[in-house]
Amino acid sequence: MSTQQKIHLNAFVMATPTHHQSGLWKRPSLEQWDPNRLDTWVRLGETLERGGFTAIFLADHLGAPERHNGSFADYIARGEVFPTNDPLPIVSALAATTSDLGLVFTSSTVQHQPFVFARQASTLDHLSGGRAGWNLVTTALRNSYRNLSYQDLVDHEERYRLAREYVDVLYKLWEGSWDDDAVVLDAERGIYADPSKVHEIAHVSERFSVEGPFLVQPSPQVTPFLFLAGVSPAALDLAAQHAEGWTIVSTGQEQTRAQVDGVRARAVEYGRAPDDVAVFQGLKVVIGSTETEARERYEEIKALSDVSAARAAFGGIIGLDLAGYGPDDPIDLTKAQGVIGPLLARLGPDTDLSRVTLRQLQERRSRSDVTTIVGTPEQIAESIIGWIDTGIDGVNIEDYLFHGGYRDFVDHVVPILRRRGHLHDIEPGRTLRERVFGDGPRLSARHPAAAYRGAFA
Amino acid sequence: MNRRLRLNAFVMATPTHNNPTQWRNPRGEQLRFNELELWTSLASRLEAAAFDGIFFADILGLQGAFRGNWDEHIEKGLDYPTNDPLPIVAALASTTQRIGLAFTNSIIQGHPVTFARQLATLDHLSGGRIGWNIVTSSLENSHRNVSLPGLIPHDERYRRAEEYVDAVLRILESSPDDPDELGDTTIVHHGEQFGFETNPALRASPQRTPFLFLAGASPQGQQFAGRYAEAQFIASPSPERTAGVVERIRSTAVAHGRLGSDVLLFQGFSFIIGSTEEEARRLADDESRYDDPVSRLVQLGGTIGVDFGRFDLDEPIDHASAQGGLGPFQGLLAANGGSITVRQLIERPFRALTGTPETLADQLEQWRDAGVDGINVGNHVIPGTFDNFIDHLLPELQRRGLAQRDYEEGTLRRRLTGGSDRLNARHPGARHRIAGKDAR
Repeated sequence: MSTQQKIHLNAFVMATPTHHQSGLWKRPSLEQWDPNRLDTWVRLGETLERGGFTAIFLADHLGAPERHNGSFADYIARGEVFPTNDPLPIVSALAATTSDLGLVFTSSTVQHQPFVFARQASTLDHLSGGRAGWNLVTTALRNSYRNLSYQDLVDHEERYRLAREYVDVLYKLWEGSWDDDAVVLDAERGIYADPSKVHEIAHVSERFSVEGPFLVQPSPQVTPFLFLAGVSPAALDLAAQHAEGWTIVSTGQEQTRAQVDGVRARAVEYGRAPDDVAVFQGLKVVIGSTETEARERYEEIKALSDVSAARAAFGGIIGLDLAGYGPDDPIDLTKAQGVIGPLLARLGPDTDLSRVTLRQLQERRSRSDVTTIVGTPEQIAESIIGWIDTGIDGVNIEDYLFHGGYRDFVDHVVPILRRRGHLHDIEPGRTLRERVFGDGPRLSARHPAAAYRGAFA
Repeated sequence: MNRRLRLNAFVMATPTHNNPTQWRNPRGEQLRFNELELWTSLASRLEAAAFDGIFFADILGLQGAFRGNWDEHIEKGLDYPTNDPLPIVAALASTTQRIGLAFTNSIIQGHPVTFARQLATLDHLSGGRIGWNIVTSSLENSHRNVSLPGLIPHDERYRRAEEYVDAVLRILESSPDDPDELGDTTIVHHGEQFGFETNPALRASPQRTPFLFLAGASPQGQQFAGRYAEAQFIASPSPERTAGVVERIRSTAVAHGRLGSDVLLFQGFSFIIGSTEEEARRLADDESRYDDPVSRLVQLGGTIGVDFGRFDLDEPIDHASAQGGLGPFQGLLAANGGSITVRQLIERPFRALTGTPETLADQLEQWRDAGVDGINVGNHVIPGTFDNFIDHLLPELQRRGLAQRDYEEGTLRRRLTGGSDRLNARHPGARHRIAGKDAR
């Protein structure tokens, strides 16, 4: 019975002028927001905390999408996911202005030296009292690699190999370098920590050599809460092994149910329990006080959309320059090196991927896009409740209207979900992991990182 | 007119910073360094007192070994553990409005594109209050933590620093004030360490490049600082000997096409303040109860690259037996006639300016007259050291016009230099600006 089931709410946002909806930044009437201003984030954080959201979840890119018509000019001119600010300083700032909200930020496995990243994440976990979450991504944009001294895009399989190498170092630093009882704090004898319980990790692998010991003592969660996304076979496999939170944007409830079952079954193969992976479905909402008002608002938003920018961004994200393609020109998707998993999932197994047209994609999109919910608060709540039966643990609300939309959601949709018993109670002072799984603040003993506990003693 | 001294609170997110093992002092709260509240309450206090900035030191690894290992460092909490200052500074951006937020980041720590983006984001969020303390990392362990085989030789490190800093400034300075001025201006960098292409952000942050702090002791370090520093740290032994230091730094800046006055000089001090000389001495004795000479030896040796644990108490240590050591150690030897013993090191007086508000203000006036522009106020205990400074010494400094009573308007750079929000045109970073877009 779905009426008993509770879900988590995350706000899925990005520090860029245009995230979910092309052209939105052009309209002051739709609550203009400026990602450069701290105030933008502080107000949003307050709203989400008031609504009992589990986390704010900041997406990120390390570069511009694939060149369109040979250049980045379209993205730059139209503010299409460019520029994008670094999410870490933003969630760090929110650590000071919120007290219960989970603080999830995206960082790529090619972005930092693992020692530097592990230290930033652990510091945030300390400062926030155990509210840090890391969204692990593997970077699929050519420009991101070229920004970071790579010659070119790294191919799909290789990306996931790099990711495994990277997290292996992080786990050693987080879980293995300090024993649980290493910190002594005996002022009388002048002993801060026991040197026999703090260990070098002496990691050496293809890309990294990291001596240790870790510079940060264990934080409340020790390893920050781990999010992953992606539905390609390689991404699913990585998530099944490592993710505590898995975010998907499937285009139908049947598909979601299959993905939930799939990731849980695969997790079991890795020695984890099915419930060790919490699944979050992405949903977009447009709220009106009447159905008509909601529809009008949605039409207004769609009218802002810049078709050329949207096509540029679409090609940019999947990694193809689609400039000059007419609606019926065949596109060879087998050559796409970017984020392609969700698109393939939408097209289904019977499609000839070497000859897909923009018209075909557009039709498929409008037919299957049940993830955009337009309506009154009651209708939206009803629709979200309908998703619970798929076995998901939460939803990532991808709002069209940024703060105004989240405020409406918190004021009008959240009370209905709460009244009907579908939201978790807020118990102050808990870590993000405790909030999601209910158990202790530490990673489950079944998680691969746990293998490094005591490994260097 | 009385020229004021700029004031930074000098801190580090670690149990023991300037004064080893003071974490044992029951008056101190720095054991809560993992908690955000320690830093937000300190920053609020400093801001109410119109401190120019809070300044976070940092290291990327453990200091050099003592008796061949790190047991003492870990056991006594000597600069270990140490949290990353960047998330702390970001959090303080949301709890303060005026105070400068400076943090240390090493040139071996990141990639220029990634770090430039973090700087720009912080400068946006804080409304132009960010300072970057550029360091080159002299610790073996720091290098070995970030996939380098070992300490990069000194000269090579500075070559690398030059490339890194120039690349970061180029990315930051290429952002326009007006987004409409930016076309598809891809920056292509082919250097010794890095090869990348990137697009500058659409809109420059308030300072565009955060205010740049540097220390620099070695000849290469002095040249590097002369080229890039907007504020430089000095460790002059006395006001009398400061004139030479000031002259050297200002002439180095001039040799790099800048004005001597383009570099502000900050000297670091710890203070022990009593209402009478007698009380001050008693307080100093009190603090020294929590001092640990061996820990000071560990920390000193670890910083200057000599393992003093290898020597007997009265064994003379010279350049040869120390097997090198860094610049500050050579200075220490020179000041002591070419050799020194562990006993002499341990018995060196605890270096803090000790006195009443009046005598301390007299001393600071002498330092100011000798050419010092600002003070890094070190700490024994947090927040007590700063509370004492603010409650007892600061009113006297303000009365004499040696310290500001309130903030001027503008960014950190404008307030510290009295100039513009942006790097001045003589700074090497300024040449990266898009031609004709900013001539200020």
